[in-house]
Amino acid sequence: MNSHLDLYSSPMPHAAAHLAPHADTHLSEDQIDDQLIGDLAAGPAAHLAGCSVCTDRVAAAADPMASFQSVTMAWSERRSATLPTPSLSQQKPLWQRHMAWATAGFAFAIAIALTNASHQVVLKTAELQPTLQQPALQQSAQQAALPATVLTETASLTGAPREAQIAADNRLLQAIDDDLDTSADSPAALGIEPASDQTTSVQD
Amino acid sequence: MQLALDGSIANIQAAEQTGSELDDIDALVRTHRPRLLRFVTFSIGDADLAESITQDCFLKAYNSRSSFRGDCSVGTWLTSIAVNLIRDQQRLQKFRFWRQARATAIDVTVAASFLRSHESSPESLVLVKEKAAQVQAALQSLSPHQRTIFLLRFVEEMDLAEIAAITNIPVNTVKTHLHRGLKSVRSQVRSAQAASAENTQSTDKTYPTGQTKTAGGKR
Repeated sequence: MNSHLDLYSSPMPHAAAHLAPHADTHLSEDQIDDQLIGDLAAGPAAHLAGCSVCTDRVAAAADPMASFQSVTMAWSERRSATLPTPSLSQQKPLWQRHMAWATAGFAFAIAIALTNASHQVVLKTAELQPTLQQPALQQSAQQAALPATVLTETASLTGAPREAQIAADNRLLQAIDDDLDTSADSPAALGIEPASDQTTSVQD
Repeated sequence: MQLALDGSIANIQAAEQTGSELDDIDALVRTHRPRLLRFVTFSIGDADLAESITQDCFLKAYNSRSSFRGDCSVGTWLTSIAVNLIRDQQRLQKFRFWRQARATAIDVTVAASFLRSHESSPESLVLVKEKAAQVQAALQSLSPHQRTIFLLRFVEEMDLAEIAAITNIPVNTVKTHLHRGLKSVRSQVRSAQAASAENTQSTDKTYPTGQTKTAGGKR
C-alpha cells in the first residue's frame, strides 16, 4: 500500500518523512475519499482517530470544500436578504384559480352577449325607419306647391329623393343660370365698340 | 409499553412543531432560504433561475405542508422539493434550444468578498477565495447528477442515507457518484494549486525584490 506516498496537497512538506515508518497503516487516497464521503471502514477509522498525519491529510483534502462552503454561504445569505418573501396571494389554491378563470370567462361571455344584443337593436331600428317615415313622406308630397327652398329643406329632412324635389332643384338651378347669364350685358348689346376698333380710328 | 407511548408522544410533538414551522412562511423563508438558495444556485449555475426555483420551492412546500409527515427535518424536506424542481428544470432545458448557457453565472471570487473579514486575516481570505474558485470550476465539469449529489454531501453536509432518500437512488449508487465526483474535483483542485504555485514562483523570479503582485492575484 504505497498510494499514501502520493500526498494530496499536504500543508506540511515534512509529512512524507513521518509516513515512512507507518507505511502499512496510513490511509490511502481512496480511504481519504471514503472518510470524506462518510463511508470509512472501522479499521482505517480507528487508525485515523489516533494518527495526526492522516488527520492532517484528511483536513487538507476537505479544506477546499470547506472554503467553498463558507464562501457560497456568505454569498447566499447576502443574496437572500435582497429577495422578497414569496407572495402567497399569487399562488392561490387550484379551485380558487379555476373559479377565477370561470368568473372571467362568464364576464367575457356576458360582455359579448350585451354587445351583440345592442347591435341587433340598432339594426332593427334601422329596418323600421323607412316605414316610420312613410307619413312624413306623404306629407312632403302634398307640400309640392310650396316654394322650392321649403321643399328642399323638407326633402333633406326626409332624406328620400322625389320628383317634386328634383323639379324644384331644376327650377332653382335654372334661375341661377339666368342670373349669371352675361350675354345680355355684353358691350355689343349695350352699344359699346370694342377697344381695338377705337384705337385704329385715332391713328387714322 | 411505556417506552412506546413515550416515543409516539415525542413523534406527535415533533410533527406539531414542524407543522407550526411550516405554517409561518416568513419564518420558514428566513430560516431556510440562504441554504436552499445556495444549493439550487450551485446545482444549476444560474443565479436568476435559482432564485425563481427557490421561491417556487417555498410556495410548493407551503401549499403541500399538510403532506409533510415529519419523517425528516424540514430542511431535508425542502431540499428534496428543490431537487425535484431542479430535475424538472434540467429536463426542460434539454428541449430548450434557445437557452443561454450560464446567463447569470456566479463569480465566486466576488462572492468571497461577502465573507466576514474580521474572522480571518486578508491572506487567509485570499486563500479561501482561491480554493472556493477552484472547487467551483471543478464542479462545472461534473454531470448534473454528480454535482447535485456532491453538493448534498459536501455543502449541505447530508449523510449517505439522506442523500439516497432525497434523490431516490440506492445508497451504493450515491457512493459511486460521490467517489467519481470527489476524485474529479480533488484532481482538478490539485492541478489548479500546482499551477498557482508555479505562477507564484515565476512571479517571485520576475520580481526578486518583492515589489509587486499580491499572493492571490487572478490567474
